Amino acid sequence: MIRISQVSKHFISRTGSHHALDSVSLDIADGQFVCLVGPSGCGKSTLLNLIAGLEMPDSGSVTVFDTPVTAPGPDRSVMFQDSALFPWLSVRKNVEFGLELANVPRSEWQGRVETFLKKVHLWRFRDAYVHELSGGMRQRVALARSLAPDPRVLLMDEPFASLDAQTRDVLHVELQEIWRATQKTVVFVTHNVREAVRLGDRVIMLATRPGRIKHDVKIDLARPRESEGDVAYYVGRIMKELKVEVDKVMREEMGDAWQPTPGDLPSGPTGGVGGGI
Amino acid sequence: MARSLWEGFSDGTILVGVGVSLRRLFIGYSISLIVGLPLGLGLARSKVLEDSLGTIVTGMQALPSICWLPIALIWFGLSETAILFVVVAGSLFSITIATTAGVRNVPPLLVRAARTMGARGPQLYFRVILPASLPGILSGMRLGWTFAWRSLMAGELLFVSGGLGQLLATGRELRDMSRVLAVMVTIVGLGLLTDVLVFDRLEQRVRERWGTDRA
Ligand SMILES: Nc1ncnc2c1ncn2[C@@H]1O[C@H](COP(=O)(O)OP(=O)(O)OP(=O)(O)O)[C@@H](O)[C@H]1O
Ligand SMILES: [Mg+2]
Repeated sequence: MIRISQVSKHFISRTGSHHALDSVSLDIADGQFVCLVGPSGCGKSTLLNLIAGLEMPDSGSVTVFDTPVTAPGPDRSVMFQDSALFPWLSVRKNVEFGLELANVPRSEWQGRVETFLKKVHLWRFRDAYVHELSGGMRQRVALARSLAPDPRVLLMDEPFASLDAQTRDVLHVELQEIWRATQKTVVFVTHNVREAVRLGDRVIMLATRPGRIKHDVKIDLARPRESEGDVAYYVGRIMKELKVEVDKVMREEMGDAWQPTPGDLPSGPTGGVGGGI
Repeated sequence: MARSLWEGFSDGTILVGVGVSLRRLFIGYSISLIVGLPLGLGLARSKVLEDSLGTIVTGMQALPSICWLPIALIWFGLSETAILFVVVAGSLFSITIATTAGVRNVPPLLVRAARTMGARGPQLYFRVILPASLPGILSGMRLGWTFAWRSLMAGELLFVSGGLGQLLATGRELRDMSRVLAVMVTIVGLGLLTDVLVFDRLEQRVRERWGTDRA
């Protein structure tokens, strides 16, 4: 279980002090798939980084499986919007690097690399270098690298945000498949409400300034989730709440220049309700 | 001039000069690498080092290497050591600065990703930060080589030393234009040769690996 209790976080920067998170509490059960949505700057990444151990809270505590988080560790893999693969290593070596750091015995490397590269359908590209792969392929390698050391928690910060809709769709299917098979706890940050509803057991919406939890929606839909109707119902519900928050942020950031369009749901270039914010 | 070049090679004077100069170059350049690379890495990662040595290094780099000659002569006299000193002084700081810049330009996301996988301390440094800054370090090494070469010629020109620089100087005294040109051609040739054979190849390999040759 991931337990976040009464966590607050400030950032001091040249432009002043940002209250990124304000006494946020959240319990995530083992094996749960939780999606975090919310307007830009509401603290989604910060929350994820706290679980990862990349940031420390000002107050409150973060525990993962009853152990307080004090540093990053291979039991909690992180995937970013950019693949963050190492360009001087081949695909295979990138995956092995994670295994080495997690102290997986060398005798197991070969087998694990093969298993996970096959899971993301990139075994054929095991000797390729990063620049020879497309954006979608890179994210799949990053996914394999995250999964290979068998972490208990998978933390994903907008991992598919820079991919086209079709590639993202394929990766949604792959990710759900992998999640079903491995039963890992997943925390998944996204701007895309449709993506959140499609993937998550729970969609948690954060409000901004200061960041706190505004809604915690349980998604009661059978998997795999293809049925547009049910997904659309949840998407519509969450989008309505989100719009209020996004308007608030825009008003604060842009002042009078911001003209909210009443009743109009924001939609991105990828199209569809909640395609992008 | 071609004849001078031929004569110079056949009677051995140019070859001997090349040998003497290259030997100095290798020794001086090696010292610069051995000191400059770790110094650059240290400057990039340690606030204390940066505060105490950063400005000095930047300042020293601005100094044309020949300005070191008087100090070298006072300390070491008209000796081999004095010339090596000039070579090191001329190339060390540019290697240091380029290495520092290379490390500073490592994408922070790569370091974050490595940390989330559990990399810490020396492991993070040698397995991630160092390879990630390789392109920057390589260009620093290349720059350092050029500067070492130039400093050496400047140093050799100014006092009796037996290298290519001295051949230039004697050519000038004899007002033997074709001889001077022949030596200059040799110097350019050597410079090009190392650039193409060593640094071009290394950088090409890194660019292929990184994919930066297809930008
Ligand atoms: N290292 C930092 N230094 C200063 N301020 C920071 C830092 N990291 C985050 N912040 C601030 O904290 C707040 C929350 O940032 P965070 O990155 O968690 O938002 P987010 O919800 O992930 O946004 P986005 O959806 O745009 O990625 C923002 O106001 C941001 O400016
Ligand atoms: Mg973010």
